[in-house]
Amino acid sequence: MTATVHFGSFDAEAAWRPADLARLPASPAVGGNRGNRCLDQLLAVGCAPGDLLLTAEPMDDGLVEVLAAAGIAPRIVAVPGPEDATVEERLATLGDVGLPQVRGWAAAVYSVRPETSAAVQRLGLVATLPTAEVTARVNSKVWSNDLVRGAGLPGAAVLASTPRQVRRLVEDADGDVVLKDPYGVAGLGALRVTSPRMLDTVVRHLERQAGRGARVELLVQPLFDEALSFSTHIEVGPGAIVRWRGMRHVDNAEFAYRGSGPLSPEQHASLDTPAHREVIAQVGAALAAEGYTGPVCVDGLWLRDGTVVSVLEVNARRSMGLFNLQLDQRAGAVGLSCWLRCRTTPVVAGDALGRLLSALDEADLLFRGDRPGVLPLASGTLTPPRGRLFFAVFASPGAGRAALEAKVGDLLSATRPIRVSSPDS
Amino acid sequence: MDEVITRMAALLARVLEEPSLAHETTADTNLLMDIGIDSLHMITFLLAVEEEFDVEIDFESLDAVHLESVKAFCHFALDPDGQ
Repeated sequence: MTATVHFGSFDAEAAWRPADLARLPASPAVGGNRGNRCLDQLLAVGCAPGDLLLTAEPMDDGLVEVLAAAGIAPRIVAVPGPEDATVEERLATLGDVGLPQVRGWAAAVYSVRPETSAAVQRLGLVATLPTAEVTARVNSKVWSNDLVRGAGLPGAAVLASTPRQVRRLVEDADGDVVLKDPYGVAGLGALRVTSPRMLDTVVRHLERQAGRGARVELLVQPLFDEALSFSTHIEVGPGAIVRWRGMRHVDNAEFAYRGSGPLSPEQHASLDTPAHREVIAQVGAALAAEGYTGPVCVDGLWLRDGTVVSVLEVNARRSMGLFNLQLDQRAGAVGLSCWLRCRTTPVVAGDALGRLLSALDEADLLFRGDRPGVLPLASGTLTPPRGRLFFAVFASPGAGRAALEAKVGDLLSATRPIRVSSPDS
Repeated sequence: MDEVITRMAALLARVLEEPSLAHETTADTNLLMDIGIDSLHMITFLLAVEEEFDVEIDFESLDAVHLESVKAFCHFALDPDGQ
């Protein structure tokens, strides 16, 4: 069997977003980009032993050992190149200089960006990839919204293409609305408008950009009364073959991702219905018709009035939910379930992850592949002053998960040197 | 200025859901390094500042240097012409 090379930077939406689109009000980049660059270490969860994971920065040696003890044991190599270049850009420019020879291996990429094809070619990998143009198009929320509208599905938004339209649509709406950038991700690029004052700010900001020639393209959507968020995962293969991979419960705080996990049996019975599968098959067929092949995550909502919004957004790339499914397969082999968690936490300079790993080891809480425990998944995302810890919780279905997760929070606090502020968020 | 700092501190505490910030935040507190405010919280904070102080923030001119202290942010957000 051919081994696989895994790589891909996680800020694909930034690469796909047209430069001339007006933006919602946003803050300057805070905390630097290192944390985002190191998200690619999460790709390890989909690797088989003997695979190669190429990352933007080296993974912490201690974490490599911990992952290997849990059965996640690819060879992990940081790709040489300029710090501000993506892995794809480095590979497309430098090829396999300083890297293991992998000619003829398969490629598994996080997403298809403009430089992905060149990177695959330079390494001599074997892969059937869609073009970056197709991938960018189907990842736009405008594309998925058109699909929802065309199929008459619940949950459609209205596209606004001028600041005046934005104002009118928001003012005409009953209740709060959400404005969505076509390429917004993980809460960035989505704004809940809760007051006339906030609407004035948004419109003023858009008018300034439009005055300089920017295009306005925003989706205006009612703020849904959500009972539960979920994701559906499929793989679109060559020949328009759509393979079902599973569904996940999604935990969000406002619009920010906090974790994925299994649906309860009751939730699963209510959501994984023939009607939902039919809708997802339509999504797969539409993606295939566009020329897309690869992994897909379809975000959905279950509303308090019982409505199932099967397609809220389409993410034609790998996703946190997919990583959770891959981890859950490992968990299932030993009779456990897996939850993927993302915890934002204050971080003080120093070896934050090393301290946490030691504490988890001393408390005998690390997952070793056979009994309940937790497993940090990336070393570079825990960056000062405020970082993110991605970790998996392996526990028996319905038991022990919350306690294990709480212990991680306790150890994060206990292993953090005293600082000006503040308790965990 | 003290009253403005107090109101800013209260807004930060509310947005970040960390009540201790209301009394720990000073004029010299660095919004990035000391508080560690992230992008999501930042936009909520900026919009809250507009409402609280009835000002229009120039989002496109906002730079990390304006976040190096609450005092610097107050000058940027509330007294941009006086900088």
